[in-house]
Amino acid sequence: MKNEITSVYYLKEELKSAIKRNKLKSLSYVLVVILMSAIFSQAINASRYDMTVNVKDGENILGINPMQEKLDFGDLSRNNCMKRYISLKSDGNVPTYIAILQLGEISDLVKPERNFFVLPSGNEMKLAFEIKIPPSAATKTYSGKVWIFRFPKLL
Amino acid sequence: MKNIPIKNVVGSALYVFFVCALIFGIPQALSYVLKTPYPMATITSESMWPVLKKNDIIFITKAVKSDLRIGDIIVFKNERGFTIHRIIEMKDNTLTTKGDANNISDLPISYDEIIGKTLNYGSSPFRIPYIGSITIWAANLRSRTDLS
Repeated sequence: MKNEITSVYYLKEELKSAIKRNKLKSLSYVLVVILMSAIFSQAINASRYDMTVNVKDGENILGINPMQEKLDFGDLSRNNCMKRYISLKSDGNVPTYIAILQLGEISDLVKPERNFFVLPSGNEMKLAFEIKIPPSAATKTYSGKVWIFRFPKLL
Repeated sequence: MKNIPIKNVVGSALYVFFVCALIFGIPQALSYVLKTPYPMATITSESMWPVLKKNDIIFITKAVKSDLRIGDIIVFKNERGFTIHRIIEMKDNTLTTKGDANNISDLPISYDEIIGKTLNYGSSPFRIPYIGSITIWAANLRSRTDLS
C-alpha cells in the first residue's frame, strides 16, 4: 500500500516536471519564431543599394556616374577617392537605430561615415560613403551591396 | 535534493578540461611547430589589401636571412608594435618592406628585427578570415578596462 502511494507521488512529480519542460520548450519556440520574424521583417524593410566602381589605369581619372538608385562611384584610378551620399530620415516619434552592412568585394574599399548610430526622431541626414582606391587594386570593376537596417530604438 | 549522477560530473569535467587544453594548448603547440614565440597574428589594417584583409588571422613561421626572398611577407617588430609587410629590397645588413596598398616603403630594418614570415598555402599566405575581429574586440575591451 505504501509503495503504491509513493509511486503515485512520483508519477505526479514526473507529470509536473514534464509539463514544466513542455512549457519551457514551447516558450523557447515562440521566442525563436519572434526573433526570426523580427530578423526577416528587418531584412525585407532594409534599404538595399548596389555599389560599383570601375578601377582604371592611369592617374587622376574621375568619371562620375550621377545615378541615384545605386552607389555608383564611376571610373576611378588608383590613389583616388570619392564620396557618394545616401539620405536617411527618422520618421515617427521614436529614434531610429541605423546599422549598415556591406557585402561583396567592394566592401573592403568603401567606408561609411558612421555605422551603428541613433538618428533622433524627425531628423534627416546625408550619410557619406567614401571609396578609396589603393595602389594594390586591380584594373577591374568591383561591386557589392550595402544594406541599411533601421530599427526603432525603444530602450 | 536530486542526486547528480557521477557520470555527468565526470563528463562535464572532461569537457571543461578539453576546452581549456584547446584554448591554452593550441598556441603552445603552434609555437613549437612553427618555431616562433609569435605563431599567430591578426591583421588590423588594410595596408596589405587584397592579399591580407583586416580581421584575418595568419600564421607565422620562423625565418632567418637565408630563408627570405624578395616578395615574401614578413613580420617585424618596431616601436608601434608588429608590422606585416612585403620585402621589396634586400641588402647585406638591412632589408626594406612595403605594404601592398601603401604608396611609400617602410624604413630599412635589420635582419634581427624580423619575427618570421607568413605561413603560405601555395603562393599566398594561409589566412583565416574574420576570426581576428574577436581578438581585436578583446584587445579593445582590455585596453578600455585598463584605462578605467
